[in-house]
Amino acid sequence: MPATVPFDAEKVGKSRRPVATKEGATAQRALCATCDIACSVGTETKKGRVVKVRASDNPLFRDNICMKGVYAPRGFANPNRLMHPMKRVGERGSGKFERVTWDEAMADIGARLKAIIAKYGPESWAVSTSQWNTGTDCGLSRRLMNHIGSPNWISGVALCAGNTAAVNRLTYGWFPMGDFNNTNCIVLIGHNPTRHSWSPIYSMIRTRQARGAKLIVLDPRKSENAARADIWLPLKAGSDTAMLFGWLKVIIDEKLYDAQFVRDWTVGWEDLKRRVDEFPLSRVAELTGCKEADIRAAARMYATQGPSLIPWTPITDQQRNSTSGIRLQTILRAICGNLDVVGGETLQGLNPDIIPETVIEAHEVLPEEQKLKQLGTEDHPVFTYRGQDALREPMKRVWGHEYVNQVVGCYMANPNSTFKAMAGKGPYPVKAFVFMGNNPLLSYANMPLILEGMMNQELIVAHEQFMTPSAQLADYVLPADSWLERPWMSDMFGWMSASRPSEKSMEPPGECESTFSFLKRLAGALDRPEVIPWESVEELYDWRLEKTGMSFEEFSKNYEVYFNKPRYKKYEQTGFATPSGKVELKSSILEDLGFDPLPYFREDPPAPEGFDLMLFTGVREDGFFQTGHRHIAEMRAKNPEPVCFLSKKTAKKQGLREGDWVEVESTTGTVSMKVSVRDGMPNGRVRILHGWWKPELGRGLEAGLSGTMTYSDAQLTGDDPDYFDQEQGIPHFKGVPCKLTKTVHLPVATDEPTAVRA
Amino acid sequence: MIVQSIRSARDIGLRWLERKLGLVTWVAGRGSRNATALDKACRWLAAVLLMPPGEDFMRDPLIDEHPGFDPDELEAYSRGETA
Ligand code: SF4
Repeated sequence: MPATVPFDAEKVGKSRRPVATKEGATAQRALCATCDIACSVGTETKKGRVVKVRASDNPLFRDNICMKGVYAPRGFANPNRLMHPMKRVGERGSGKFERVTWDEAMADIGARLKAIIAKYGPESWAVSTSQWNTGTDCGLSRRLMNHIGSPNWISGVALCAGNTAAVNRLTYGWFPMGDFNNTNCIVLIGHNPTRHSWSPIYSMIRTRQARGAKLIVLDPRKSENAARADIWLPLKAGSDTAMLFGWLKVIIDEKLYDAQFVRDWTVGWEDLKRRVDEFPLSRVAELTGCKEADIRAAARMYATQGPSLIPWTPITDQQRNSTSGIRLQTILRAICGNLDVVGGETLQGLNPDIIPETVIEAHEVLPEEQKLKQLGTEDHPVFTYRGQDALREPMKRVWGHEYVNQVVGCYMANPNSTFKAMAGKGPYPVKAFVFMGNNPLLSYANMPLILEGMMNQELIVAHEQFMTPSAQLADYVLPADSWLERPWMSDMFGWMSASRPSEKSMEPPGECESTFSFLKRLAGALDRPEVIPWESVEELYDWRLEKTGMSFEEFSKNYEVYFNKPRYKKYEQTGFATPSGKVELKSSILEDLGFDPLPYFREDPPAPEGFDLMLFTGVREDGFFQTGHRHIAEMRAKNPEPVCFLSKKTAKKQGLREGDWVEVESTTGTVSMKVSVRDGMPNGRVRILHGWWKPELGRGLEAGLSGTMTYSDAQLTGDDPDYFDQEQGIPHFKGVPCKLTKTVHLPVATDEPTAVRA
Repeated sequence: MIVQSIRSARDIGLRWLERKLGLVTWVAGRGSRNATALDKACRWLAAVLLMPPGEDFMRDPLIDEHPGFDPDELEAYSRGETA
């Protein structure tokens, strides 16, 4: 998620050049891409290396930096960084590779991919990526796939913000960004920004709190933010949808909504009221485990102390009621008068001066029959082409483009359906898999299925900085640059109308190349060089900036952020970008797709016998982002082992103590974790950290893929329909039955070349 | 009736917020240029406006006191010669 910058570009965007603080260094302005929030930072370079990453000089971005950003120069200097293209020499999964040249690799990749496409069709080629790792993609992977004819592009954003964007648009035709700087009330649903995780959001929340804004936190555990909240609702994991029904019940019964907005700008109000009436507070209290009085107080606070914000949360993204939970958030925002107002949820649109990535993606060139082949289309269509199809005309009418791919999550294939097709269990085979800056084996649910799918491929190509567990299964592993080594222009993935430049701070080491360069090579290898005609990524940026009259060089010299003056309540002129032009409390799109058009709540199914604890996962430690950074000794020193958190009472009941090792078992798999006993944990719950593997452990399948088979939480979550959101087809991470068994953690043999140097 | 007056008070509040935002924008704009004495005064003011007085919760020695890295040491480290 990008930093929020609700200011006027002419007045704020231009800023002075950064000045080096280290003697003899040159300074650049950059955007940190170590996590997805893209802090504006300063980098300092000496003897061709970045020697310092610090916060921007601009007072607006003061302190927008965390320890991961500060240690980035060391992380990217790690001796195990991939420097040269590597080709697999043993069996798939043997972890054995030899060095080849870029030209040799791309010639073979091109020939094999063309043969697969000729044999099985273009849809047999799938791509998985995470955009913050691959800044210079700029929509080019979608563009190339669209021209070749494959709709099967997947990303971790299917579980994290991208899917939220797609669902938000069903209600009001855009994914809003909260105006944190001016809000009076913030609701965090399980989300927990801290000093070193999502630092800018943490800073804005605390700043607003210090100025009197209210904070409401819904979280099963007493998180850092829960401890500082005006109201903390310690709800059962996975029950936020029921909780939001309770809020609506209070707000509707007590008439705390914006009646004029509801009358003039919504459809489906009476149907919504009837559905909400199914959730009296006594039922909500039972479903959530919270007191009726607290639920009522929180709902009143949200509705009356605004403008209020419900910022995006990954928690609602990752559960069986995700679509309904996200829809209830959108409904609360709308009926309480928080849409497109200062201090509320801004609908910013795209910046008309800069060609957005969504235009580069060229969704219009993919034939309709190929769009309909997108995996997931039939069963879980919400974020596929089919699910967003009814928005084409409204998007054009309101935002000026038929296809607007916000947070890259609005025209995706369903990841789980894609892995099934890779494993030979789909409507057609997927036989070529390319992933870029992404560790798919650990990043989605149901790792056994992903592994089966990957082992069934005829071609796997990884473009990566390190030999990740997923890369160990590839035919080719190609060395990727880092954010220090490339110029970048971020348009916030279409979430905001701001654009920000990031200057190249040093040359890429060895033979590392950018995503732009890799995709340009790939277009050439597929005999389609015209699809990516720009000679360099700078030339592409110059083209995107043509309307501003600036080159990328001028843009990055002069601007820290390029942003048009904010305008509010734009819908009064244009209507909303929905089929009805109004806020659809009852979704015509969901109805047409054959789903319940109103939000609903599915209760937990009975737990299988013996699985009497509930795990929730998807969270990571401050020193790591997703599955990365375990190779950075300073970060690892803070979190050396994968940990599961238990309350004192639960630990005692299980006969466990701090530091014990346990096997955590769900119905889909088992992992090993070290026990940490925490006061803030609810009883009966196990909190598992996400994305663990150990780069220092042995490579290859036989050796356990560098600890993946021992530690990765992706083994604990599956795709059982009871634990799956139906509309989107995303898995449930927030309340999965599990059990714990005390174990002895045996040291695993290290693989010398990948050992972490402490 | 009560709800209506809450709403109109809120509308007035929103308009006031929009005006305040305009002022903060101007101050931050001058501050970000940091060239003239007025710019520098605005820079100071922007920092105060953006960060509440009293406890500055963003201070962390891990960030504030980090000296950066030595290029030769990074080079040696990248070749696997140092820890
Ligand atoms: S929060 Fe940290 S890792 Fe994320 S962008 Fe900012 S500095 Fe980088």
